[in-house]
Amino acid sequence: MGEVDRAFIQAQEHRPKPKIIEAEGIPLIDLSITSTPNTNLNDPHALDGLVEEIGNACRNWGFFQVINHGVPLAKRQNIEKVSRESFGQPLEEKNKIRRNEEQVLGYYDTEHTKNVRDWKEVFDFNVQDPTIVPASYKPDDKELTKWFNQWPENPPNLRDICEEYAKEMEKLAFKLMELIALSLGLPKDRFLEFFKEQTSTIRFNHYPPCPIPDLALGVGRHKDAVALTLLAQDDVGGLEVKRKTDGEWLRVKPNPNAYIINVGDIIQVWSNDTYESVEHRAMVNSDRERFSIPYFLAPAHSTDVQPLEELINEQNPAKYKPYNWGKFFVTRRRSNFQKLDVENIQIYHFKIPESELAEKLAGASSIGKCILLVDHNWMTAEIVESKKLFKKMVMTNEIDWISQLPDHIIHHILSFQPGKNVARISVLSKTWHGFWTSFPVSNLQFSERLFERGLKRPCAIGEIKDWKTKFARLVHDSVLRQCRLNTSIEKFELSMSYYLHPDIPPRIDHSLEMIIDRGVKEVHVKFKENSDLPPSIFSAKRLTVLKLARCNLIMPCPSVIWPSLRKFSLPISISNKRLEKLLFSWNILSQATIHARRLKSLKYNFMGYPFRIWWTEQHDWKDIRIEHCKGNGVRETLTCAALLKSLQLLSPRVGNSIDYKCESEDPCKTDADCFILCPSKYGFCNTDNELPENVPKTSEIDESQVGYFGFGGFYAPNDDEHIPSQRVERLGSNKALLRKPGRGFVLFGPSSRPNDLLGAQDKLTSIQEQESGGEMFELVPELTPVVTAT
Amino acid sequence: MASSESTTTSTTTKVLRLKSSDNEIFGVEEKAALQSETIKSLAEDGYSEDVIPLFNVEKKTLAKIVEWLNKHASGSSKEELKRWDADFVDVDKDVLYDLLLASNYLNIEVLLHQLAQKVADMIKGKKPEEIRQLFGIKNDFTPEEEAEIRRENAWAFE
Repeated sequence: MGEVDRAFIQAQEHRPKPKIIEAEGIPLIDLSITSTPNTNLNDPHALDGLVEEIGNACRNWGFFQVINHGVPLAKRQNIEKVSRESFGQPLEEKNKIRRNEEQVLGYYDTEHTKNVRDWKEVFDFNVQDPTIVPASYKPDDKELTKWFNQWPENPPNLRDICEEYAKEMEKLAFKLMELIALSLGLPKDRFLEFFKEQTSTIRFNHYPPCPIPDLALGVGRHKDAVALTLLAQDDVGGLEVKRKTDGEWLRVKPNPNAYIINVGDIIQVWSNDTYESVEHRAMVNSDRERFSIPYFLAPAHSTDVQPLEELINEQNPAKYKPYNWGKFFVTRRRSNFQKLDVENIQIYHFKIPESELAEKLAGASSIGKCILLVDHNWMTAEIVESKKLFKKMVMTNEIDWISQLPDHIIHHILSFQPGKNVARISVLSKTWHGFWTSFPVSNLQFSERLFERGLKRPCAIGEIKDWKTKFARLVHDSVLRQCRLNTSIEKFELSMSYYLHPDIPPRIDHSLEMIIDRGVKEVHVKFKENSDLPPSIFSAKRLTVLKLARCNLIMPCPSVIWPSLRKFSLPISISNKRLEKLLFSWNILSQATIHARRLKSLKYNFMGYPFRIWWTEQHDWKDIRIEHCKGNGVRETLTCAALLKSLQLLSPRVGNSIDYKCESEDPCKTDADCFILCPSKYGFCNTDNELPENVPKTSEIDESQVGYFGFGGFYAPNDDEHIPSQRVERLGSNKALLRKPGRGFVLFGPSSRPNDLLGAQDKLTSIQEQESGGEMFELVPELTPVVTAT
Repeated sequence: MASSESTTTSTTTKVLRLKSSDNEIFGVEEKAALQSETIKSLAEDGYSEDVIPLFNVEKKTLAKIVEWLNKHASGSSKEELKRWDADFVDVDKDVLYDLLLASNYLNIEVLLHQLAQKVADMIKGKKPEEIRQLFGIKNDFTPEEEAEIRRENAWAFE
């Protein structure tokens, strides 16, 4: 096998570890007391010590070794010899007894465990020949069939040796089952009735040297489905057992005199989980072949495996539903012929869920519950039956089938719904509430107004504090939940009135901190009354959009860095009367500097306090609009570096001025495509004031670098009247300043808005030739269609 | 020569045989069948020559799935496919359930997406009471508990 078949390769996590831990710990139990003639087996206490040892081993390990077990050494040596000889036969000989779908016993070399091919060849024979089993795995099919052993021609004595050995092993197996029964406080022959018609198998395993011992396994990790396994392994060793306490794989040291015993799934079910079947696997190595001979003790096909009634009671209800061993067994067998994409049938498919056990304890029971046991992977008797029932119940709406879908499908369905709908379904039932709480929501929206509305009745004055606190708690809890779900939160929207209770700010602040920690990209915070925004916002490194309304930004230091910020908005749309009040709260912002390299758009209501926006060299500003809202006579200095794409400075009052200063190395260079200075947004048409004298110091700008250079007034807020002609003339008088060679400039018409202009940039470049010629007044109508095109 | 050989293999349509849990065998063109990730990985594991056993899908459901696979491999126009899909998912609730589980098991992402969308549409715009009615969901909240949850999510009941 120079080239290794992919089917052998184990998934990464199941590959053997290079380090081998030798298992000193597996209990070694001496059975000599059971075979000494002096022991009075009728004395109920003669075996007490041994029974306790067995009980402890089963409970704590699920695995143990026995010595002085009573199987004659000669018989074991004989069978080991014929086992080696049988594998030494030519392949065509072995193929004569190869197993197939009809003849399930015999030689085989493509066994799979958990759908990964095992690095071994095997020969199986049953202890009872023929063995009676169900003909089909289908639950309704009551037909039985007989499985016959297939014996090879060579070695000729193989059959006799096997049959003799099987008898000895059966004795040992029954002896162990008696001890196990005693250890569970049961009569010693409690289990024996199940084995009158047994389906036990003896297997020869041959693990050839393997070129890839670090990737493949002789037998992948598995538990034995049978009642008990008794393994004879040679001196090469390779069996590894998963230690119950820590899940570590331990190698069982070979002891040619001992049998390794392990509790199988059936004992686990019978004992209602008192004894657990433990995972084990077999390793291969690159230089020595290995042989082992397990004996799998299994009950009659007709056995319905279920927790023994002596071992269950109200406090300890049955943890498994009964399953038919024969059907289970043939289903398993069947899968050995195919590498399935699904998991093989396992006892936990019959396990009753914890939640249901709890209800059982409470004395409840209902037909719908068996449905919960449906594992969609398997078609066993119960499942087919319950599927039919299930369908019926779906059609009659007796059962909520949608809740039975796997969680990820439910989440997929919910993902089509807006967050609101998902939240809305949380009232459907407890299960659905669970889907909601486990549903990742990347856009979180919280509105105090809607929360208040949910109260359904007006709030008494004394209660306001209470529900405001509750709202803050809701915000906090929801954010916390999403963080625990590890959701990546994209957007956080909060709208609330104001902080009233001292408990609220820490909760909101902590919520913000959490979402910022999770790399939130977009934050919208809207307060009804001006309130302080928690300082954590200044550390939002991945923030791209920040929209605030009536938030006081209390900057922790004079410099803020939002490296990813693209949009920043602090709009004001209130009457002048309130403006004064607001100004007060903006005091704090004096002298602030914002470093936002990727900011593309800035909308900022400039309150007349020295505010500095700093463009670093790598900045990519596209659109800056600064509205200057304070009283008369304020001079602002705006300092910026090169690469500005667009700048609008809008000053509402006549007499204010903004000095534009370029701080790049070459102070006269700007790449701005649009440069608009509008010294009087509100005042121009409303008041009869003259145009401000302090027009921009255009000498500081090299207009040749500016795409558009606009200068003028906007429309009057309330009426669209035309700019009186004398003002246009006045504007015209500035023409000289603007008519310097440039790529174009625009005079705003009466109905144009700065945004229109920005939107029409492309079109405007095409008319640049028209600049500076003739009367400005005439220019306006021509431009109007363009400017107002948007 | 090598090139002519490769042309013949690419033009030959290979048929995969899919076996339902109740042993019905469906022949499906490889191109159509491989839309299922599960079938794809089984085929890659060497099942393409044999029958591919799909233990989790009954013949009734598998027939529908095969119909979908064929349609989506037929090269129909986008609009036609859209109309066809809308018809396809317009089925009884129990069929929808089987299809959901089957497309999940067979790992056909597009179909699973369509079916989930269908269920989502069924829920959309309905009041909680109507959704309960539609899917037979039993309200196991006490009135107090429900009121509390409604309040917590009041923003959603706008």
